[in-house]
Amino acid sequence: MNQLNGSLSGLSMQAPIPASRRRRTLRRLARDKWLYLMLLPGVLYFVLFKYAPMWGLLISFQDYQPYLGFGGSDWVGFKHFERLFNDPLFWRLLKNTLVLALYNIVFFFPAPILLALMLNEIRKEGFKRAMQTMIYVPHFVSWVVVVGIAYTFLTTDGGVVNEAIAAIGGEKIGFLTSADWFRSIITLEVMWKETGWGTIIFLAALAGVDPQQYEAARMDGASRLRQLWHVTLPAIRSTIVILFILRLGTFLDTGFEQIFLMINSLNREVGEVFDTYVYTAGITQGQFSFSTAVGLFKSVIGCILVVGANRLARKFGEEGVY
Amino acid sequence: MIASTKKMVMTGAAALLAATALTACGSDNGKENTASSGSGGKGVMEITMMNQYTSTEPPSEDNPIIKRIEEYTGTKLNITWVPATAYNDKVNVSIASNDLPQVLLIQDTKSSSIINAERSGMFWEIGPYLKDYPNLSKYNANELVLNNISVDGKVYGLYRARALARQGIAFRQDWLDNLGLSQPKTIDELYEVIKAFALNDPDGNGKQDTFGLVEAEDSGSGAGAVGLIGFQNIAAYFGAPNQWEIQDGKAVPEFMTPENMEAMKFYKKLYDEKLINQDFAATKQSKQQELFYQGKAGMLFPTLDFVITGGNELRKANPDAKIDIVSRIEGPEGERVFATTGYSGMFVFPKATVKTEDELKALLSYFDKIVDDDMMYTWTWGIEGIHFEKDASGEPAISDQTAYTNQVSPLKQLPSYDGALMIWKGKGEADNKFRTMMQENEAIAVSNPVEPLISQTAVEKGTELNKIITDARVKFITGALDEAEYNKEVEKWRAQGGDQIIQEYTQLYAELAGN
Repeated sequence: MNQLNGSLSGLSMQAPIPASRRRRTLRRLARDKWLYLMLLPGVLYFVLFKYAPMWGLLISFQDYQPYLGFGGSDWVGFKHFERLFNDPLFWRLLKNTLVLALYNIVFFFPAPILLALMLNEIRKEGFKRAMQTMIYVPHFVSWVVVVGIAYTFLTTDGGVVNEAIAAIGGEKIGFLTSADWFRSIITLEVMWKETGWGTIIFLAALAGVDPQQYEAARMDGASRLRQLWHVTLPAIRSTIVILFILRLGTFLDTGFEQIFLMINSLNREVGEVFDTYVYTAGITQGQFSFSTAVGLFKSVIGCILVVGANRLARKFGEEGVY
Repeated sequence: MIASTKKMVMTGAAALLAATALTACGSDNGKENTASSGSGGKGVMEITMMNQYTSTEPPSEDNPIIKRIEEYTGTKLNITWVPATAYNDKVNVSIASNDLPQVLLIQDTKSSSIINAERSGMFWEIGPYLKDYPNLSKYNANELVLNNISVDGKVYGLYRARALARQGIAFRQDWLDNLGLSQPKTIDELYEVIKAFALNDPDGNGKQDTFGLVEAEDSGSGAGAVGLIGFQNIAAYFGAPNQWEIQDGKAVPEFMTPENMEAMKFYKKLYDEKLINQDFAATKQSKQQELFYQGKAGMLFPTLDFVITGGNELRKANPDAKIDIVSRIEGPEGERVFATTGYSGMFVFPKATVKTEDELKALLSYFDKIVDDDMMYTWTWGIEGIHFEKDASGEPAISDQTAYTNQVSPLKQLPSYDGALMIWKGKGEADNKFRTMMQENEAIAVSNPVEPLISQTAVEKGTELNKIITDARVKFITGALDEAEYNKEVEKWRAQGGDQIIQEYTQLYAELAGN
């Protein structure tokens, strides 16, 4: 990641040299034609699936009617944004989304790093491989199944956890029907499902650490913990920072499916987030313009967070994402 | 060397597999092509439609009933089957992208996207045509129901007729027998049965490990959700109105009536005494039925046909189990049940795909034909030799119940009438019983007076506002809110748009009555 970034910024620095620029550009194009060809699918992907649909954001300023189409629908300015910000639900949605996002950043984000460091310390190659494969499995389990498993474990009507609590004489806890437990359970489910998968990039970064540095550290008498602190962590620091910044871009994406499946009358006050609200308003009630406005609002917040975090990272001497 | 040979074999096998898959697709396409190209020559009309399925898998291509319909009507059906749980989403996405079949089933007929689509002229208005079709005017021209589905006085869809009174109570008859109890007839007896099912060890295993009643949340019903699947039953017994009532010319929602409070207190009592599953607020309907099948609970409130479908599942888990139903419970205002809207979704015909009036008429004739007497016989019995056999006197009887359940039942989504009230002796006692109940209960069914009215506020905010009420109701039952706090939530509903809904319904109702 680090090296890739280095060479990219190198390229852009060479670009603005004026003399016989065109010829040189052509020559470079010819030289790297295979690289550009390999770049093409990626560029096409972004143009087709990320940039082209942005055109559709304009319907958040319309009263979009599918039958009348984009051209025939009325323009209404900021009506849908006003409705969102004046909605009595707005502050609750914002708070729930932010708190869940914070739980996610604080508890879930470090988990793959810790797990990757632990895996990295395993010296038996076969065991490490087997572990890696096994911890990827939950990623491929769908949310419906994960929530089903959670229900079976946590229900008060014969769930394993509550039976255990009752067996040692405790009072049964309504994990699924309590606003107090909702966020913890959501975060734990995310951690169970995604921590293993999240280690991939960190393991790749760890594999790139120069073994000579460990040798040198050992020569100086550094313990395993010292090696971890002074060699491993600094080596993957920029990876962590970049992933953190990228994560902020989707800060308000709390994930729809999981929350939608876990939410009920007794925990809705802490569970309703923008994603579930967009679903009810947009998909089930067909208010396309309004839900697009909510989505646009989320994206703007995400964009501000990414730019802000990137600035901050650069200020502290890190590379940032751009 | 060995490894590389193995690899080559594997690659070869994979390539072969891919090739067969490709040819399979190819031949499929071929078939369709011949069919559609033949449509011009032989007068076979191809109809594209979107419909839903509730089984685990969509009906298969070679379903004998589909073949039968195609032969009988001279059509080629091209059906997109969508799981019922995702159906409304899929409809809205199709409408948003204007990617529509010729016949579209709409389940959530009162959602804002549908009403907007109807008002903007997306679908044909079919009301005036219905009288030209003998069978449709027999089954699908009930004034009350047409009124219920109309928008601004116009009928845009062919509704799928259903029985008006479908709700009831299903319970374990063998448990009742074990405990020496009789079937409940009053609210008090109902409570006693639930209590005995929970506390008196009805399954005789020596442990107190059953619930009397098993409940589930009903958030899937959107704006029509009440919090618990069976709440409407209890509310009806206590004399509450069906969603709305008109008092002195003013519209009043059900949840503001004292009868609603009585029904909530009934549930609260069940909850406090642990006679009902304590996690009902997080329980889905599938889980609810599972608990009943597994013998962990003795009662639930489904539609009356559950005695057949649920009975089959119950006997799979426990061959000795017996199920029965009751539907009339005496309350303070006598016996009453809530009426449904009288339909389950409707078919609409988008102008984008049905271009001419002639095409529309051809489609309506198709629908008329699949509910004529011959076809109603097919819907009820299936195909002779596959699903039913006739005895010496010519009386039909289902010979292969599994085949009927797998092949005929899921296709009852296709016609505009499901024969719910047709009673056939050969269908067996349980079947006759629930259909007779549905027929008889129409007389005591209470309907929702504002069903035909469209309040713009309710269309836009109804689902969100309704959550305030369903949440408050569930919280009252579990004890998180007391009566005063519940009323505060109702005030919140009123302040956030409820008052506007009340006012709009009141005004629209007065206008309707004035005409």
